[in-house]
Amino acid sequence: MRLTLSALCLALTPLAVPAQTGPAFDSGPITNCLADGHGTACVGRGAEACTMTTPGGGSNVGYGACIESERAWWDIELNAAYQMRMNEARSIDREAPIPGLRPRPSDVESLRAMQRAWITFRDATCAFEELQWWGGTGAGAAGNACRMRMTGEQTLYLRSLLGG
Amino acid sequence: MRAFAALILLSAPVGAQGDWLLDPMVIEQCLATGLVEGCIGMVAQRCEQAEGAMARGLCLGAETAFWQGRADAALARLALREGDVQALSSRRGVDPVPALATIEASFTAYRDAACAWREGQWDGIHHGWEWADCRLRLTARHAWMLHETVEALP
Repeated sequence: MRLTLSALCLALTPLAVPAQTGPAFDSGPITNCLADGHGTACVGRGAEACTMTTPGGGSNVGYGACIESERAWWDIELNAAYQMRMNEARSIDREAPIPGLRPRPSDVESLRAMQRAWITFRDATCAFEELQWWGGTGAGAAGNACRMRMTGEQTLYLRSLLGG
Repeated sequence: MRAFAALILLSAPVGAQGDWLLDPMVIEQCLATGLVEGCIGMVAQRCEQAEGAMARGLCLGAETAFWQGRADAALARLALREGDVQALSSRRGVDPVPALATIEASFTAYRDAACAWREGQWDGIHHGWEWADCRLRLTARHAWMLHETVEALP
């Protein structure tokens, strides 16, 4: 009974055990930085704050977890920005051609071509960057930091025509 | 306008553009402040203010040439290590082996596609200016990424 009660107490108070709650990632430092107009310089701000607020955040494991948290956050933002652009592109492609002008290229196809090219570029760049550190404990984190940075920059590029 | 801007850009050699349209030290001093994003496009803007709006394409091209020069310098330093990196990746069985030439080709393909997409959002005179501005910004960011990679090398 005593063991069961202890287990129940632990289950009800997960915040009392920081090591089990994962990195303390918060997107606030990124969004605040973006609101101040610092653009791509804001990529990495969330991971940076995370390493300082997460117990053990300064270790390779802690740093890697914080980087991965921000990378995943940017990935969601990228998908949202891409979907927004795709919806706009579909709308643009439905517009009637302007008489006298050459037919406009498909915005949907142009957007898809860019995103495919970006994925190839990201994979080549980050594989190379990871390899610069190969053999060291930070190699994986270097590759993931590259993916975080590039995903953030591409998100901001996609947002840029909206002024975000 | 796009054809006009392209004609101007093609008519002047890259080095000559940088010589008389912009002072590289202005960008270098800006970069020293650490606010890299704010430095991109700054000199092209000053150039346009001095030379007039019709020189916008030329000014954007001049600053793009500056950043391309920085990218080339960083690539030259990375190339010195490439043999070691290739040998290491072969030993570790990394497949495909990432190569500098592959990265640069993929960057060029991405930049062309990204700028074609952005260019397509505009009509009229803005068409060519957006294309030139896009090339400047993506080239500058890529150059800075290469620079930071070099600076952080183990």
